[in-house]
Amino acid sequence: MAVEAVAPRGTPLLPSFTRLSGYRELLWTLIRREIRVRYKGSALGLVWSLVYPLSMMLVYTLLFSVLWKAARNIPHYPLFVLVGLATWGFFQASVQLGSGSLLANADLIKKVWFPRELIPAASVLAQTTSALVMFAILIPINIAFVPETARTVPLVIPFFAGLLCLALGLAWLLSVANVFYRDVEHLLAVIFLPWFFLTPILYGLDQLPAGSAHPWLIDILRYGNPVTPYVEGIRAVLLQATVPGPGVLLYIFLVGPGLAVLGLSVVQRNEDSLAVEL
Amino acid sequence: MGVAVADGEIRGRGIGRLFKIRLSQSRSLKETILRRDLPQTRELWALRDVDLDVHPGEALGIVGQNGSGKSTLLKLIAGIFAPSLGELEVGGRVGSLIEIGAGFHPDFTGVENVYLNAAIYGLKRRYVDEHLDEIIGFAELEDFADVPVRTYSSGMYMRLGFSVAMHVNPDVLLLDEVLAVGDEAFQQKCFGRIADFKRAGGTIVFVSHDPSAVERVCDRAVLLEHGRVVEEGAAVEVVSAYHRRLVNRATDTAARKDGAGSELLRVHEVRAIAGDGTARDRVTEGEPVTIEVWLYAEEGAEGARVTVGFRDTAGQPLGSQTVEGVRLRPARLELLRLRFPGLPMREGRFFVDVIVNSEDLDAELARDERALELSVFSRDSAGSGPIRLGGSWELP
Ligand SMILES: Nc1ncnc2c1ncn2[C@@H]1O[C@H](COP(=O)(O)OP(=O)(O)OP(=O)(O)O)[C@@H](O)[C@H]1O
Ligand SMILES: [Mg+2]
Repeated sequence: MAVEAVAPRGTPLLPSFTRLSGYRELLWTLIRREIRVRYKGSALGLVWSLVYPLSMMLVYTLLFSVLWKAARNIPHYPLFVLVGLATWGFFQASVQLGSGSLLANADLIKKVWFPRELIPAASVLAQTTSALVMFAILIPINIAFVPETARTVPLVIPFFAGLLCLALGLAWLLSVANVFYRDVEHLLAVIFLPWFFLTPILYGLDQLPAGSAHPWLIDILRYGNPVTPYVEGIRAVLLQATVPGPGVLLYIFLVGPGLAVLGLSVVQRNEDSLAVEL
Repeated sequence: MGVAVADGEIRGRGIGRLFKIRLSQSRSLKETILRRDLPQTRELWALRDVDLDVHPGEALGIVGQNGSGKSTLLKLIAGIFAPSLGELEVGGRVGSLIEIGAGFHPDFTGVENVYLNAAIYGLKRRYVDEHLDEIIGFAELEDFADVPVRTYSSGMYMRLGFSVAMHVNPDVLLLDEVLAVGDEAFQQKCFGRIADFKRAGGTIVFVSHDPSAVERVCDRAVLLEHGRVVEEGAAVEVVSAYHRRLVNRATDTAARKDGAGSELLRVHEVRAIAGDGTARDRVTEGEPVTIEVWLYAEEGAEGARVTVGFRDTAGQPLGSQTVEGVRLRPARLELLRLRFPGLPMREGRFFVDVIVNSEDLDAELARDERALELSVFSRDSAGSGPIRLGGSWELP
């Protein structure tokens, strides 16, 4: 009798991209399905997804800027918050929905073979629609208020691409984890609230009054939280007309894509177990 | 890796598939961390030492009891599972039909689901655009094309799924219990389509609990028992072997339960085999038919008299045929065949009774009334009634 080894096919450490060829059509179809289900096929659905960040922006501005005056040293606070909320909103929605996506499509995975990574990917990519609309509205307003940003605005594309990679990577990793441990999705929902407050959405890390007293704490907040460099980077080029320093740039272009490659290979390596466990 | 396989060819050597079943129900991260006990697992070989050779244009049937590993084997061929042991190579595009309607979204309409389903099978949108009417037409769902599929009946669901799957034009078609919910007419259409597919050189692996469907679709079949291939050969033979094993198992347990000899002789099964070698309950007038009678005698029998009789639906006997001196070996399923070059019936529904008497007619050993229902269809409309009157006309 041969050696007993439960080894799924193709287990290189790096993910395979060749197997994705010929599945572009499927990816598109899955994205369209996701959008249709999410926005119930109406343009109103898309508008609805913009109303939430706008109303939150109003609430935060009222609280932190008008009443509390805590944000007095942050120029254009409503826009500052709105850029942050748009970025965070995309990240949270795509990771949250992406991590539940494999389980939600168990039916498909058990019955037909196709590259499984497409399912979380479609979930994440579908979220870009509302983010893109949001940015399309924000950019002209920002340029109107801070004309210098016209120079740095194009950088938002590579930065957002980096964030997209980060979201993809996390969605791939967590969607697999969620198949083995069904509560990952729920734990995630719990984690997202403190995570939101630890990310500089409502405040800037550099504007914190006690920040200079604890520089190492600021560093931990900035580099220990993978979302922070993306929020700061996108805000810098979109609103502040500055280009982030080399540390943040390196982070943006290494962490997101790195996590995406890791996530993709984890999905591919667990393909067999996914079909068994679902 | 072995030698490359041709499109539509399946070659497996020593395939085994192990499942590790987690016994503790814990699938939650929280509990796993809090309890910190290692999950207990049980190992189960769903398939063991399976060799498989299917050639392009061939149809292989897989039969076996629930849990014998049929679906697992199909999933291995489809690439959904990987073999734990051995080698499996499949040539060309596999049109997996592990279950029909995989990936239908209940809130989408029939047409939208066709596009979705087709994309999952790797079809181009352009191709679907061109064949949409054909796909909907084959499923006969023209009136329901724009209705969400959650309102479909299970048969309508299956029609749509089958129709899309048949348009994928795969090299290998995997069918797992898919025709079960279709109605008679649609099943016939599916069989026709499957036959066309085979004729065009496509390979089929067919799983079904319906023996006549297996015989009809497949040339060859394998019988799986606890994940091992225990019979292999012509479909008719393997299906018979499957039945034999089922009975032997049933009688084994029955004998153990009631004590030997409580039931001396019984009619296990009666089937009609049509001219094309398949078991059927409908034949055309004049077609050769063989009535198969499967008998089981616990202690055997010498010189039994076996009678096969036909009746109409009103219970009126139409005729019978008896054979004497039948010897039945003990505790074996024995097969008797009664061949008709063509039944004398023209059209209608008929019942077949089987009666077994002892040699001296002292005792009736077994009686199975209405053991089989057989429909005969006429070829023409020149006559009427249950028998072919025949005769020739002379006109003025
Ligand atoms: N995902 C899985 N995880 C664990 N065990 C499995 C899994 N899928 C199948 N098995 C086990 O493998 C064995 C074979 O299952 P399989 O579904 O192949 O049977 P089958 O012959 O198709 O049965 P049926 O006639 O009921 O469809 C069963 O004992 C089943 O418990
Ligand atoms: Mg099955």
